[in-house]
Amino acid sequence: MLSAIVIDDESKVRETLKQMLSIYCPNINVIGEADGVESGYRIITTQNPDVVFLDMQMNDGNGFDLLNKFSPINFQLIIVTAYQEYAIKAFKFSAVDYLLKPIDPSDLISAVEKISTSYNQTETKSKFDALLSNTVNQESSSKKLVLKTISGIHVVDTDNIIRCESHNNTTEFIFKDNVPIRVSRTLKEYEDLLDDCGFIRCHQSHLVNQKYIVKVMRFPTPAIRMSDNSEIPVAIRKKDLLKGIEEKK
Amino acid sequence: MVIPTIQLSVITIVLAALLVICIVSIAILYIKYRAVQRRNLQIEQQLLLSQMNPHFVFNSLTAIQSYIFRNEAHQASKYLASFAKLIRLILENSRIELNTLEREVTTLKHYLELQALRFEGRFEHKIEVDEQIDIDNVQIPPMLAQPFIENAIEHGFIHISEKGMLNIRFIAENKNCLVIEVEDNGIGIEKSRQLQLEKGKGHRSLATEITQERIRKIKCSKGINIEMSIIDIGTIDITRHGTLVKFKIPV
Repeated sequence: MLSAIVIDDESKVRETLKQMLSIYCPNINVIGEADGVESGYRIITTQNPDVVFLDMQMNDGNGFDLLNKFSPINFQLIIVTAYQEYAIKAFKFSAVDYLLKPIDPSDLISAVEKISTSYNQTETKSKFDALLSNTVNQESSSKKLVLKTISGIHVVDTDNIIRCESHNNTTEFIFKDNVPIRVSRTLKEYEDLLDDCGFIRCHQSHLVNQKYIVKVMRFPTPAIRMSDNSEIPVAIRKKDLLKGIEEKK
Repeated sequence: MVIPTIQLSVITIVLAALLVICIVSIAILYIKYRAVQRRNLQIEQQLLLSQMNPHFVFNSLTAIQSYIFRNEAHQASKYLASFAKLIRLILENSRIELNTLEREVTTLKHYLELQALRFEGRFEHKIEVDEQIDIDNVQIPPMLAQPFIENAIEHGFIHISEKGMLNIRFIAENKNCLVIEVEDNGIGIEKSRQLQLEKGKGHRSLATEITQERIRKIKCSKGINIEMSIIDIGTIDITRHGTLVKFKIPV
């Protein structure tokens, strides 16, 4: 049995979530609820729950304001959000799970299953450290990206990624000063995520960090050389991308 | 008659210069026209987004979900239908510049019904329409007051001890002028601004900005001159608190 607290500034939303938990997640016991950042902080510190269901946008502040008060975060967290584009991108960067409102019962079940089977305090902590660091440095182009592999999670700086290469449905990350990491997610997902961090998809199987391009070649076929000495092909229809890069170099 | 060569070349130069001026001014006008069009489109999109605020949409749906889990099929269907009607009206409104008062009141009723469901117990509301007004024929820009109604409900009523009261009045000031009033007993716009500043959020009133832009646009395209005023009730009567937003619309 896991004890849980539900934090959302709308009572109807809390009610719905509690009903859903009682129907679909019998191993969750809701021991309290709160309607904002301040009251949420108070109830978490007094009740010490195993799990917190947290809404991201509340009247007296957002979910990040609440999380910032805890160091370390000693509970499991399931984020519930209506819609907030920047926040969702931040969750993806940090590989933090979240539920969208209205909540789909099967999403709720799988989120709860995940936390009940794989509770790992260090992993949780590094994910949230990454999340908070990204939200604090929203303007910065370098972000902390959390990569999940079978062996565990790795937190990397986007600034240290030279390039990403796809192999079937997995993506391999090549770094400036680290051994490559392979994750079982598609290159497309990372293309969307790293869009604002200076990465370009120059080829179906390649996503490169513009910062590490050392040479642009046009003949015999368009290609670029990266600082790790790899030569990356450039798709014919992406040729125009090279112009912009050459001008910058 | 023979025109001297010198005079002919002067005429040619003048004509050529005129032509160039014409082309340049047409080009400038066209660029300006495109910019205005783009801006109008932006305002329209902003307006649609302010009415279909994602938080309103998804939290309303979550509130409806609670009736489903309580097995209250009747209530769930009622609110779902209300939600559908509202979305339909808002989509239709986004294509027109003027709406009959009758449709406007229906839209507001559905909107308030859903907000009341979301914030059960937080506030009571009343819509009053002056009997002298011919609601089927009087036309006004749709949902002009909606951003202020939303502000009152979502931010204004939180820090008060008594129950929130929201009054929306449509008044015939005279034959040619309709007044819309949105009055709440919330903390008042001044204090609300202060609170936002204390929280470190440099608060821009999005409601005011969007509405002022819209009023400008309506003046340009329809020649209707709408006056808007926002009054913090506490500044008139220190024993009370709240905000009064007033629109004067020539009809």
